[in-house]
Amino acid sequence: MSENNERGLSPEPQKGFKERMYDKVKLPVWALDIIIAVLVIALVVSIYLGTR
Amino acid sequence: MQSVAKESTSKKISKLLMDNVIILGIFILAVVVSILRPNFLGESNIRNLLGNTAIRFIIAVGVSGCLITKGTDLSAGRVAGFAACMAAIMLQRSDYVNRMIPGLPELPVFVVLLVVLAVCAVIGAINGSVVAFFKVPPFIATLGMQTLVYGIALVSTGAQPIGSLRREFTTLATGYIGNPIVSYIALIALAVGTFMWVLYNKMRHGKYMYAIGGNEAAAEVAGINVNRTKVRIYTLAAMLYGLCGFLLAAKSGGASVNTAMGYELEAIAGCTIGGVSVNGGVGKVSGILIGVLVFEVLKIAMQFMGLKSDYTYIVQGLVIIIAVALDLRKYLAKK
Repeated sequence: MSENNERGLSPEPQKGFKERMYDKVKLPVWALDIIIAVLVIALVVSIYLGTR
Repeated sequence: MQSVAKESTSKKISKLLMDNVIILGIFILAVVVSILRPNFLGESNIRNLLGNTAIRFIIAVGVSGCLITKGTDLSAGRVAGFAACMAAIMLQRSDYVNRMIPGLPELPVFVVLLVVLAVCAVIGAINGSVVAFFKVPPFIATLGMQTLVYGIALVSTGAQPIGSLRREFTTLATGYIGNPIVSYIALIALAVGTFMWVLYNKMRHGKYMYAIGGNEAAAEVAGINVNRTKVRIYTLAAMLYGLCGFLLAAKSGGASVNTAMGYELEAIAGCTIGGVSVNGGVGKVSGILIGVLVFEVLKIAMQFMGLKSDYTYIVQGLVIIIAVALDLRKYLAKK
């Protein structure tokens, strides 16, 4: 931040707790898409089982 | 040229769908349930839905300020529960034999509300000060407060449920203007929503809040008193939890230490579904209302579908995880 100020630039955005947590996720977007698809299937299956 | 325009339109549509996929999914679910069970759209169900949504909206809009500034507030549910207990203790019928405080005179409902809000404001100010001045991560600070407030509620109520509340208090929940759907609770939530919309969009406080959420360091350089703004945000949030607890006690006709248990997570889930980014700087009052409404519609739709109660937790949990996964996807795709 101070280096940026010396160079007349705006300070870099500070990262929040969750943002820092998200940064640790090293998944490619397509892999996350697969996980989301699995979660959606799990949701549909649970609704089906719960109403049977 | 045309293909470029088509491509950008399809991109816009896919982004819109991606941003609102949960809302869309639950809307479709509601349509299916209302076709299968026509009384899903009946007056009593709509009234129940609006009452539940109103109470959870008040707590969610409080939490939203914390989320927008990249924080969180895990004490929300316990503060609401404690507020419900305080209100119930002070508003028990004077002819009730097992009153918690036997000698307490009958206080006006409005005075009790002010006392509850004042106590909650102190709790919120402590939360905000710990986060702002001692730089304790909000997750940890509010987790500590959650446990502390739960303990205080247990000690002050002796872990006993509090009932036999005065009629003028419970009327707050049962009363309505004209049509039963237009209940007092819904109107109070509407007033809170309008106030918060003005605060977030038309007043300096809202601009400071979004600036801090967008870039805290830049906000500080721009002359915003970040610490004071954070204390104000957490104080206001706790006052809203207090109002939520107060209304919840009126609605339930009683309170216990377990009142509003887990509401903080429902509020965070409602905010996330409604587009409040957990990365900070983003979130609208209308989005929060839609998020909370969608979550309540999901719960009631599951009841109408005859979903076994054990499974409702699995479904709710999955919806929250999917909402967070979609939020994470947005973040990763932007990088």
